[in-house]
Amino acid sequence: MKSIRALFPSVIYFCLLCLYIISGLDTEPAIAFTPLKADFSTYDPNKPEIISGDTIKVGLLEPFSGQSAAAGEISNWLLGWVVHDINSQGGIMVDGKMKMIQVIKGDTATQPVVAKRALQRLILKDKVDLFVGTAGSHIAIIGNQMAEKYQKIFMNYSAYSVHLMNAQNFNRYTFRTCSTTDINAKALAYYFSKTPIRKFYILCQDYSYGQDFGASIKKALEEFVPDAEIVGEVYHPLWLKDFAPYLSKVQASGAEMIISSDWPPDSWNLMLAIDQMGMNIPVSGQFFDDPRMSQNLKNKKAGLGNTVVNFHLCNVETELNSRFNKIFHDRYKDNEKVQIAWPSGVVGGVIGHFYWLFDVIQRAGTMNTEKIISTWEGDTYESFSGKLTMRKCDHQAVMDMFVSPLVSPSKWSKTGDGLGYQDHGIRIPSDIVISPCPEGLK
Amino acid sequence: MKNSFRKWLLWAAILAGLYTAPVLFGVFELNLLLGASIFALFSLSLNLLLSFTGLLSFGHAMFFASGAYGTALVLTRLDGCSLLSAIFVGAASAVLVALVLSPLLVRVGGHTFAMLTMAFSQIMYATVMKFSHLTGGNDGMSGFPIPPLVIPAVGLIDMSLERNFYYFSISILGLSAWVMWFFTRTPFGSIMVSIRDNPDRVTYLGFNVPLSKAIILGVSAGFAGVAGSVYALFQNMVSVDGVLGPLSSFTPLINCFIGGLGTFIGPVFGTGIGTILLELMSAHPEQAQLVFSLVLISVVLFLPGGAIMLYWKITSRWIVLRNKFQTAILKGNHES
Amino acid sequence: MDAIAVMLITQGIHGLAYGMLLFLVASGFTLIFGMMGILNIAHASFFMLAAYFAFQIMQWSGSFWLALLLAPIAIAGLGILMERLMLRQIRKFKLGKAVVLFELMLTVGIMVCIEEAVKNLWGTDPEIVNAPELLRGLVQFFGMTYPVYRIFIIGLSCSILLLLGLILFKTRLGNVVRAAVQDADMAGALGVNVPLVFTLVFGLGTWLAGIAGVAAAPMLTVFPGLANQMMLDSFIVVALGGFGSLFGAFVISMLLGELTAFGIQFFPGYSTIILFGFMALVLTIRPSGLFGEKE
Repeated sequence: MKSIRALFPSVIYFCLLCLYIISGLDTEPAIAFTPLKADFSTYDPNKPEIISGDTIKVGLLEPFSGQSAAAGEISNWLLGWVVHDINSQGGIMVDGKMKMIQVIKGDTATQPVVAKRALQRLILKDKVDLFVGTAGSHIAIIGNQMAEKYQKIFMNYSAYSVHLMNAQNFNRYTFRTCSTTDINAKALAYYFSKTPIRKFYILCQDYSYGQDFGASIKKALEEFVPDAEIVGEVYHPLWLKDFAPYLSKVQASGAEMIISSDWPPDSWNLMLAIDQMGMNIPVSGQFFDDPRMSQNLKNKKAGLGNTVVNFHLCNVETELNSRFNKIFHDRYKDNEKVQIAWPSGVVGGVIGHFYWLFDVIQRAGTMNTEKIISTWEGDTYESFSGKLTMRKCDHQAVMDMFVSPLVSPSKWSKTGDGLGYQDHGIRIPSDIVISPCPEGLK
Repeated sequence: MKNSFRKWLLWAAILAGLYTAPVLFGVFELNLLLGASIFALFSLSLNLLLSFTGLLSFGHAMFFASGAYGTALVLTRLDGCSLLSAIFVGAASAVLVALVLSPLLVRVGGHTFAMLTMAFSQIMYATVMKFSHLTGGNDGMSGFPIPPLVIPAVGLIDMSLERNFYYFSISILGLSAWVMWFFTRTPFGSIMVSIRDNPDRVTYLGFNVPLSKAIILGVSAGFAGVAGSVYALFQNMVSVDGVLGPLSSFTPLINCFIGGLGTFIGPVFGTGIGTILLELMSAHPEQAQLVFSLVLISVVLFLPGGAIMLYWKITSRWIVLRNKFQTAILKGNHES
Repeated sequence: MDAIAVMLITQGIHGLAYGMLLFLVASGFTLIFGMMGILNIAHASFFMLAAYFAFQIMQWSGSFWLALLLAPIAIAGLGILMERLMLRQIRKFKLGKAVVLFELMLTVGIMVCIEEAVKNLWGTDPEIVNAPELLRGLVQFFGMTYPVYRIFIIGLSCSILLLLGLILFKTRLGNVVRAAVQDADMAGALGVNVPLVFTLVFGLGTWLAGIAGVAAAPMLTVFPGLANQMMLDSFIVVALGGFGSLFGAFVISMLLGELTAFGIQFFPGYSTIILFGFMALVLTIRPSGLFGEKE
């Protein structure tokens, strides 16, 4: 009798334990994060929350010094947005534990050697679980090599050169979520085939990405717009001071549209020079929608008809996208420092890609590299502007592309009546723009 | 006698430190050390021109780059090229560049030499970018095979292992540094110093000044080439920004000044200080170069003898040293 | 006029505008070198810094004209500080001929320091400076249109050039400066306060770079890399034009401006090799430059 009574507390304890486990099992699926749930009014990329202990360590390989440091700051802002969101929901359940995400910066200075040293530090010293990057295809190729050598996942969201994922440079640890110069060029050419524009001038930066884009656009125009005429083709040095002499050349050629691969500060300088010279030849490319530049244009004609191609635009109608647009706009519409009032182009696109990455990790449920690879290969994810699919053969994301000309007044400009996208972006289905798997890859 | 014993002791201590490093450190620190050693050799080769001949080169990176591209090209294009011959090709191509340019370079000094070397390195930069099918242009060359070291009667040593490669490169670099040091102590080394101090006298003594200058330039370029070549093997990559960019000629110069002009070993200390500084600043890459430039400015303004002078001051031998410093580099350079 | 002629003339004016800006920078560069024997590598960094000062002053006051007035003066002040506190300090060491090496390295240090400080203060994003309302539009002549602002740059530079010429060749101060440029020791022996003249010339040189920086700001965006190309170009100007020769600097600046404009038109991509090759050739054959009187 005595012994039974002695057992009593332990029975109760056992029952409580069972209850606790059952309730735990019950709530576990609910731990999964959902995008855009956090309160973003407090989010500031320059004041990251200090996270320590057992975390998921993500290396951010970007230039934080040198000429392109602005690109690094933007990436830090975008990755920080997603990390802020997930961490405020408690993190991700991996290997049976809820883990917060910790971002560790690696500065490339856009130089391969510096990048390699930064990566060695990230991998060998900071012991990151995976790394993401990066501006510049010559840096991304270092990322490819180091990912293979140390068997870490490398997510490339901003190096567009086609050859990065060809048979020679492909490895199973690298995943590219952005588009390629080929895809961008095809999307643009497909759009032009539906317009009367036929005289094009190619003005790109004189380095591998610019030359790649030039080659891609020529091929794409041949394919989609056989009657197109390329009236000139010039490659200018990076960080050019004065575009005026180039533009006089363009003017004399009778071009109707300039196609350019330029990114800031070159794309800004190009637009400002067009503005100052009172030209009305529009420019098409990926970076000619920057609101920080277009609000400074004085001439009414400058920038009108600029045609933007990207893997995400804010004027794409999906339910998720309009929710995202609203949250982002509420946070940044009156922000003096961030002049981007709407999450367009790479801003929204890359945020979506980061959600995808962490969603893949969440579904893999582990930081085991092999498991993440097998989860991501062939995976499909519903992002802001549509479906993203990770092609298994070359780890290239397959997605719809978007094109939009700029109009004025536009509801998508910061003030609501300035230069900006037309109301609705044009969706170009992925099967039109995607290239087949590279030779030698299955 | 005592002095020379000290010098040998210093060499022995440095060597012992370098050879025990792999036992003490991990891969990351080892790579850091090897990277610093490569730049130390590069700075030493520049110092040969700067401290011993009084020539300031703003384009020494072109010799470093020739070495790096020479090695990378021969390993990419030529199957079965051995490791040592790849390094030899690197050094030889740097010497070749120096010899081709020497007829133009030996005639001038001072500012003109500085500007001329800068012009040549700019031309080289533009050329490398133009021949991008060969050099990879902006992408650079990477992933070329690194052959194993073949030692007769011992066998192959695999260079893909970090530790093996470390021992191999440290030996090459140490040997080069020692040969260079030995070179400054030969009678030719004295001619070198005399050219700096009083070129007319060298002519009276019956030596050909331009020829001697060309030889010094060749030697300096050759060792810069060795450094570049080992660098290409170490990184398994050559990129135009890394070896020819705006800072790649300035960095060894800064190392020489921070370490201490007028001595042989100064640049080694300079490189060490620079590496440690950058390492300390690694959490704030945005400010690293700013701090670096402030250190350079303060050294030039307040400590013209660099770290070595500081050491001498601390060991209260500074009066002796100052005299030595002044006779070594600052006095009687009549060259214009 | 036909399109080709319009284009050729437009390119010519583009070249003139850039050449004039280049001359403003290079004239200070060559004056300082001719007088003090200091190759101020940081000179183009003052040009870049002035553009940032202009941006900042316009943020505060909104007036371009105030920026054009104040920014160059601030830059000249910095230049004078650099000469007084730093370059003079080096000369105190009595380093003999090796002083050249130390001065060069000091200017290298200052160049890196200015660039990095700018990045830390203003960030690396390009900043946009708006031209004043008056200078914004386009001007019509001979059936072609051209931006007013570039014409303004040419006009501004011409007036500065005229002013400089008047001061240097028509005033007593100018005589003193020219004497000091020719032979500082002799001028000193004749009772000229050479250190003061040195400071003055350094201030003047950086002031010119400052004017160029403010003038360039609305034409180009303001970003830290602004100094790089300007430094290389002014190097070429000084090396080819002759160390210390204002006339040489003027001729070569104009030539280089036109060569850049027409080079883009007719042989894009090869300008660098041609320019530096030519510079190397001149430096070896005639180390004093095409128009230089002394080394």
